[in-house]
Amino acid sequence: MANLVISAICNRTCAYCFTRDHYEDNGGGAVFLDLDGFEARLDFLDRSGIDQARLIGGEPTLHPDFPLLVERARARGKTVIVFSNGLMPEPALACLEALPGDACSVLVNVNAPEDMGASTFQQLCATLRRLGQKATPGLNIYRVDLELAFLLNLVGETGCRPVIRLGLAHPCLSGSNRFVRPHQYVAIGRRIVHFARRAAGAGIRVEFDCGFVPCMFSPPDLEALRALGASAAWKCNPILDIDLEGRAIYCFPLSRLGYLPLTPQANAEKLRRSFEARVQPYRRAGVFVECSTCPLKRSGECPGGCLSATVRRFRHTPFCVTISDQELQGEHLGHSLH
Amino acid sequence: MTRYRCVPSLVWVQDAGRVLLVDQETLQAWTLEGAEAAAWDLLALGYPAERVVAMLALLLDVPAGQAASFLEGRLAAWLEVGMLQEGK
Repeated sequence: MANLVISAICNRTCAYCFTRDHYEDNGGGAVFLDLDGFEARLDFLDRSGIDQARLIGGEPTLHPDFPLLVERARARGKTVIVFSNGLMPEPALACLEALPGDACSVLVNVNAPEDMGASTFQQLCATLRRLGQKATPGLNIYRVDLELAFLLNLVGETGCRPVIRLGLAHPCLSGSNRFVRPHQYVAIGRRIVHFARRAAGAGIRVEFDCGFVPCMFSPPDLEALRALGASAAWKCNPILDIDLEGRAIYCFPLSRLGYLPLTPQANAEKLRRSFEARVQPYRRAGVFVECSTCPLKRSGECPGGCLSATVRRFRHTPFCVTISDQELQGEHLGHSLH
Repeated sequence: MTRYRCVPSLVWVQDAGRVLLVDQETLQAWTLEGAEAAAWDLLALGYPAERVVAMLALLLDVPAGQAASFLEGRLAAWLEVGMLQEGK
């Protein structure tokens, strides 16, 4: 799996956007991926044995040649996966609408209607209606009190796929985006279970994105999630995002951890291994102070939550200590203690 | 007189009963537990050696001279593995 960045611009300004660090560090460059660059990315997918072209941004559908990029990906036999905010230009929407259902899947990122504004929300609903079963709504939980029930109406009214993908708004390493704190996870977990029950009653399944941890749910709630068919998974892997400059990053929140060049020999497996080695020292910790001693973490069942949130726990406090020979012999100290 | 300072690329986090350290440049990693973790915490809080030794003596319930030896041993070990460097 690898995501291809094809557009650096977006027509929404979500406060929790994970790409903030990356675009702050790489501003002023190309805005869209050119066709040659896109072919090079498809070559990379081919030699990595990846049969999906996962297009991300910014908002990927803003690419002026989006239909052509989709055509090129399809010509290589790729299933096209698009990560969109739902506010698509008409040519891009028409292009995705025309693709066969098994050739395309669109994950539409939704925010609460009160945060999006009525007209923007209506535009997003129209996109979901036109894409129908090709579209899966997803929501990043960016505040604890976020009311999720509107998603059930959204699925019911638009006829999109009856699956809702929930994510947690994770921090970029800089912490400059809006994100939920680990101490809020338990409260969020309770809301999710309540929501998953309502969703199941409406024939809708809940899926989890990366960075969830089992300890945000009580044991009975974990059982309930399993019984409801929610795909509760605890994962944090290098998904690999390939940026416009042809470099791989672990994932957008961790872009400041470093880049790896997309050389002609690079494949996804090698890049993933390099990133795993790079983050391994931080993996001993997790998002909570208890993670490093947790049996689930030790067994590998839980990675300890989002690595970006974990790395942010590590701090440097400069200190300097002076030792005199006398002190080290304990002579002076002996006097001061007694 | 010897002056030790922590390596600038070193980051660390206090976990339950331990301190996890990573050198961001070399990606070397260390785990400190028990009295070692306590000593590191006290140094990172900026206490002078004399206070650190006094508090270690109380924590470990040992004479000050023994706590001083313990600290000296740790500082030497941390210097050797690259967590500390000798400073001016």
